[in-house]
Amino acid sequence: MIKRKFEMNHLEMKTLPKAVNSIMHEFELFKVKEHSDYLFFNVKLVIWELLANIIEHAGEDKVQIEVEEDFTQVIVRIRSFSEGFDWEEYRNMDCPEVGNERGRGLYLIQQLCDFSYNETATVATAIFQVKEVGVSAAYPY
Amino acid sequence: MLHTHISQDIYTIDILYDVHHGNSNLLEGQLASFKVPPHVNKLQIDLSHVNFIDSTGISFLVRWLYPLSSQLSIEFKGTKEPVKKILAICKINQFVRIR
Repeated sequence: MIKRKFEMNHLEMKTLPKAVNSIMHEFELFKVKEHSDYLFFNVKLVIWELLANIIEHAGEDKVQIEVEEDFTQVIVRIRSFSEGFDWEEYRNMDCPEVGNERGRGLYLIQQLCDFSYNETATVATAIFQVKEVGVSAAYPY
Repeated sequence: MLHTHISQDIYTIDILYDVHHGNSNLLEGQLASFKVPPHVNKLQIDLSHVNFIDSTGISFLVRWLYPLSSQLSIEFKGTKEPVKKILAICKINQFVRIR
């Protein structure tokens, strides 16, 4: 398994796209031609939503990120330096009603990966299964 | 960010960029004066240039389109498969036809 760990500082919403794109460049898997658009999109969206929550709701601008990958799964862990929150009410939540404008971020994250927080909700872990045919032949792990 | 055109009773809006936190305010601003002409029965939104959407983008689409859905038939066209999946997960397909 390939593992990388790094910190990001001075995070803010206006630079979120650039920050997420730089994280996506850390993955070897997405440098290989045959990856599903779904996997790339889902990993990007989950990272995006998690960082957006940290910036907007925790008011934090610094995170520690770990990425692990092999040809069966991708694991992303994001640690924030905030106080955390009680995420129990959001665990396994239903989809917000169509008329509701807000509240879809954590719902989406849980639909797209095997997701959990630690007890204080300061470390988020997202596990994605790689279901590609042919990726392992080209994958340089 | 938007291109609009009308053909008979179909009003088409092309969204030319990804729809997310960074630009949904801009989109809302451009749509602030949007009014459906009385002879229009269908609103078609071209998403073929949209490669990425986040929860803020979804909220924007809900805020804009859900109230219109009782008056008009609404359709997304050219939707990329990952975007289509996210829209379905968020049940946007309950009031918008997604192609």
